[in-house]
Amino acid sequence: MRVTCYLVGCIVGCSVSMLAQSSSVAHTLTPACENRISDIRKNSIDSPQREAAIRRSLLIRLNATCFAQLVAADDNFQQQVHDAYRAMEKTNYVNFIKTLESSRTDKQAGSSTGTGGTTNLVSKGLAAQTISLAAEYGALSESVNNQVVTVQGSLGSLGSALVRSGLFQYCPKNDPETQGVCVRERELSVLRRISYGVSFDTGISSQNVSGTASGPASGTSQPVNFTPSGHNLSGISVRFVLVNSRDDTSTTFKDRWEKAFKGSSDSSRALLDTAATNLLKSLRTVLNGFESASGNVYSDWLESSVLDLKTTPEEQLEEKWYAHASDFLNSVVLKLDPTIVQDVADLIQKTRNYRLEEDDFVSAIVNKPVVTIEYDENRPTAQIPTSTIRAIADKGFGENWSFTGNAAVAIYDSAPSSSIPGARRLRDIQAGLQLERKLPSLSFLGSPAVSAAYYYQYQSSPSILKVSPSSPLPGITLTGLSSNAMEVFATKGNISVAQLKLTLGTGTSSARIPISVSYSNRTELITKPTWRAQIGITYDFDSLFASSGAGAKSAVNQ
Amino acid sequence: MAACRIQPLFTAGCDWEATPGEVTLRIKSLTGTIAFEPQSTYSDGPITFNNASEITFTIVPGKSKLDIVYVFTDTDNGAGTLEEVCDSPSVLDDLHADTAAEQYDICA
Repeated sequence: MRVTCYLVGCIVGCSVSMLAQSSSVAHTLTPACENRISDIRKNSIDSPQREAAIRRSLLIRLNATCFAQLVAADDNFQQQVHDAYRAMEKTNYVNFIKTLESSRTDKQAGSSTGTGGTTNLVSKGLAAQTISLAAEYGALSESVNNQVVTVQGSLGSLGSALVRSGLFQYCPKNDPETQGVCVRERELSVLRRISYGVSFDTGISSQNVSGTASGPASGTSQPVNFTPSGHNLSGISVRFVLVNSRDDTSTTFKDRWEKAFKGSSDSSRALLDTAATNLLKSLRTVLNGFESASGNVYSDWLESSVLDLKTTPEEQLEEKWYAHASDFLNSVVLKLDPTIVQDVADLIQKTRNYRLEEDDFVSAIVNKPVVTIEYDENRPTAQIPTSTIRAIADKGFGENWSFTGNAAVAIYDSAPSSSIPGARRLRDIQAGLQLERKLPSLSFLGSPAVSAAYYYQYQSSPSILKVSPSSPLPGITLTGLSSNAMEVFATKGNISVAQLKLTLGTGTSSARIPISVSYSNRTELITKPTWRAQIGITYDFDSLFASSGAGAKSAVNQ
Repeated sequence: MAACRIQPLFTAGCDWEATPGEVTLRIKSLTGTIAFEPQSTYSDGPITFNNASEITFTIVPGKSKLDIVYVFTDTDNGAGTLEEVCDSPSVLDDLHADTAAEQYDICA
């Protein structure tokens, strides 16, 4: 291989003259290198521990990242390294476009229109491309609740997905400047606080078509204009986490941390594992060839450098260390195989990719939202759309308890008819409290939890439903309406709901089954007490998307 | 506790000098918490991940390689040390968040 065969003639006798030459090289120590210098300084001069720290700082195996960054920062190699980055970016861009093409909806399989049925739940168009592309790179989760499909994600996940696709580099806080478009760690940490959800109503009521006669009858036939009277998009929500709590010391954190590494790779670890595998592969590529060609030259350089640095005064340590390291790199340059620059650039890239997955993985375990603000745009069938602003507070107590509080205000997007008594833009004010306790894990039930919740809604405006003779309301039969009635409204009143819920997990899968029973003094339409039971299923598709996104789809892994 | 099998050497050819047999390594986290990434490998046998910060493997005679990737909760300033679980262990390596992957050459 490449690295070591270039250690020609650079043995003890040459080191002094080489030091003089290399001192003219720009002195740019990266944090990865500086940490090793700090380790040396922790020990007194001439102590065995100091010599051990000096040795550790000069061994390529233990400092591949530091030496790779020195190569990339060296004036002699900068252009070659950046050319290597450009070549990688070009390959990644081509692969990204291929992935984009493969997710186009006009190529999707499935029953065509006119067959009376379809298995495609998501609307066609650019939104579907973005969503499927985001899903491709592990940026989304889906849940199906009753007949509403909700697709959720965070802007942080989208940012991470773009880095995984190879379109952008990831720039951690301590990384040297990079060329090209760079997603910085602090920017990604802000994006991680922002999440969104889009809900699609897949029920029959969302797909109504109404027809109006457009001309006179001709015999037994009559022309009709058809118009859709329902809609698929039933809601959009955006959330921003105002306050996060970072817990990386408590017993709860330690349990979560240990659990995250136990057993085979789950959805949260799949991307980290793949990035780790790629990083090791790249490290071995850089080191393997070095080792096969090292011979005594590397050993002689190492021993002479250790000898010199052992007695170097503290104030000269960094400069001398850098001089010895540059010594070694300049010797490598003398017989540089061009492909070594490619390997170095690849190692830096893989290190940054691993850092991205590490940041994502750790963030999910140690950061917990405490205060969140949510905006919901609700577009229920046959009702005036509403906008709701909600504040959410979450707090954990001990290992198994958590408390959640909500407060919200909902307003109609458009002023309701003035003919409706008591109707106003302010629809309602809501407050809710929930106490949840995790239960012991059971092999077939996973990690269940039980919760008790109370919800109160002050109705400022009565509930209003839009009606038309050609579009009956689903599940509601109205009698005695006048022929020109366009809206109906119920008696307003304050609503109290109490709920008990059991949420079952299914072993190690990402499916959750909530089962609940609730009692309310009334609903928005019915003014009598009501008992209800609910059951649902949610599935976190991250596990599927993470493994597919961590495989061939990530261009930089090829 | 058992006597130590590994002695740090840090020469061009060998990072650690060891006696063949089963050995357990652990991470001492100093800043943040550090774990062994489960994709870490030993060239001549399997690694048992006892918990997030402890691994066990069997050192074989000759030269072998231990490739480790670390996971840091403090991804900017995480730091710790690697040592063997034995009587009077030596520091086998200083760990820093900036260098997540390392290869150790073991000579037994």
